[in-house]
Amino acid sequence: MLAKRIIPCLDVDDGRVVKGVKFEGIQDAGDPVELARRYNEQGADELTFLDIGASYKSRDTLMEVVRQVAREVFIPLCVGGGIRTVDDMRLAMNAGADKVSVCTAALRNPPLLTDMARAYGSQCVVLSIDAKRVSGAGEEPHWHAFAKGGREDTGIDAIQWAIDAVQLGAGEILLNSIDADGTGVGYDLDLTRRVGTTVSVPVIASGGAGNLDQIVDALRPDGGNADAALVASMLHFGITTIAEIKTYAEHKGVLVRW
Amino acid sequence: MIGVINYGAGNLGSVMNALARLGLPARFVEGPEELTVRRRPGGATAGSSIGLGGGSSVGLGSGTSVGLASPVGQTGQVGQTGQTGQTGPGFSAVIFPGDGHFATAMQVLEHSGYDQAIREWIAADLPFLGICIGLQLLFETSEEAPPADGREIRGLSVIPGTVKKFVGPKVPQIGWNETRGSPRSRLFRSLPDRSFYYYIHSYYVVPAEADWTAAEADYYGTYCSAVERGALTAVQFHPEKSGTLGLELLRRWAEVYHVG
Repeated sequence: MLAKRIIPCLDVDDGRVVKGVKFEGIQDAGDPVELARRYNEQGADELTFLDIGASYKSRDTLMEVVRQVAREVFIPLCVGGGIRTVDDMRLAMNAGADKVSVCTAALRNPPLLTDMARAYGSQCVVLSIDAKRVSGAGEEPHWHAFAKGGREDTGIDAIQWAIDAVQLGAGEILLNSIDADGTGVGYDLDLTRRVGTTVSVPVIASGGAGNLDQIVDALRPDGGNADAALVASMLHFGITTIAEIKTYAEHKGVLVRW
Repeated sequence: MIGVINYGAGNLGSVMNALARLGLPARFVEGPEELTVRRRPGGATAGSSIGLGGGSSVGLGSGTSVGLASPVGQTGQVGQTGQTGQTGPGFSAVIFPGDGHFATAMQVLEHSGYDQAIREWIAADLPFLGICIGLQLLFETSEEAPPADGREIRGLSVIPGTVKKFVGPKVPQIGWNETRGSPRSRLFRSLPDRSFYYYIHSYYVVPAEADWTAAEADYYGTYCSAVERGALTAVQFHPEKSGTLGLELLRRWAEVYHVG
């Protein structure tokens, strides 16, 4: 049986891990190589690095981080943030990434997903969707995909975008709820489940983990039924450990890897 | 020295990183000629021990007697040094990794001449480890590469059998799957059983002969996730991405086949 994955997410700005709330109010959370090492020892199933710095220097620094991590951590590494072309993807893959995630660049230029899949295979292409609920009370719920780190509403329906992206070549969907990001209110289970039942590729739930039950709920078949959960603040700020998450998930009947 | 075949497929750097971490000397193979196996002086030709004679493309006939208990390690040493004036290949073992498309990969292998070099290496029963598509390419055909223009697209055809696509709502399989090693497997019997390795694939191998199977996992049914015969081992998962256990598998593989 396939285990559900617990994936620490490291938002990196100019060589430091940072974490905000609803994509704002950034706090320093440590050295990325040090954290990668620690999470690997704790039993992380994969690591995601997102460059949230604006400069090329920040991206180059992240590539050096990935290179260093790849030499000592032998689990899948995903790199995202500022990847706009197949050449950008190649830089990340050459540094030791196993896959890359794209968000804004794919919204602007959807065929990028196809080009990336042709170059490396769909399994290396993760579409990151920053989704925000735009329906009012009493309306049939719907979400829009946002660009530019959650700052720009593209008006594109998030679920339709997931469907289209998979057809174009995305091999995995990283689904971030902007409403829940960093708030600790829990993943958007409704959105996670809807995307998961609609697309044929794995869905990684992201944004909003505040306690162990919420992580388990995102993964449970009767909850979000995600294939993996991304966790950031709870780990960076020492609220929990991967081992604690996995022990709890297992206790609740979710299959995890040891 | 372990040779890692680089035919432009996948994150091969991680294989090199893992071997370096284990202190196993390795480098990329520079061309198929580097794998050329000279005949051993005097005794049986290498090919006789494991079928594949006479240019047959299917090979490994069921009558061959390369059991799991055969002393394959010794042939590995022949490969390393060569004997009595004959030059052996520069590698004690070969790793054949990669991700990619079955047809594209075969095209590259055929164009470069690696196809024949790999068949000969395996026929000589020298230590060989296939990873992911490096497992699938050893088979005869794949659903990933259906016949084109009425012509069948053949794999390396070292192992009788085919490669099929998973049928289920989530394909590819991406993640850590519990893997059951066969107690007969030289590699898996010394590793913790029912352990998790990292898989990322849409297709799985179906050996025509059940005794090829060295490990199994479940994804929309039970499937063969590793094969083994003689000095040939191939795994569907990525040991170089399977954490501590994956590194342990590589270390054990090197130990079992006296690679290094």
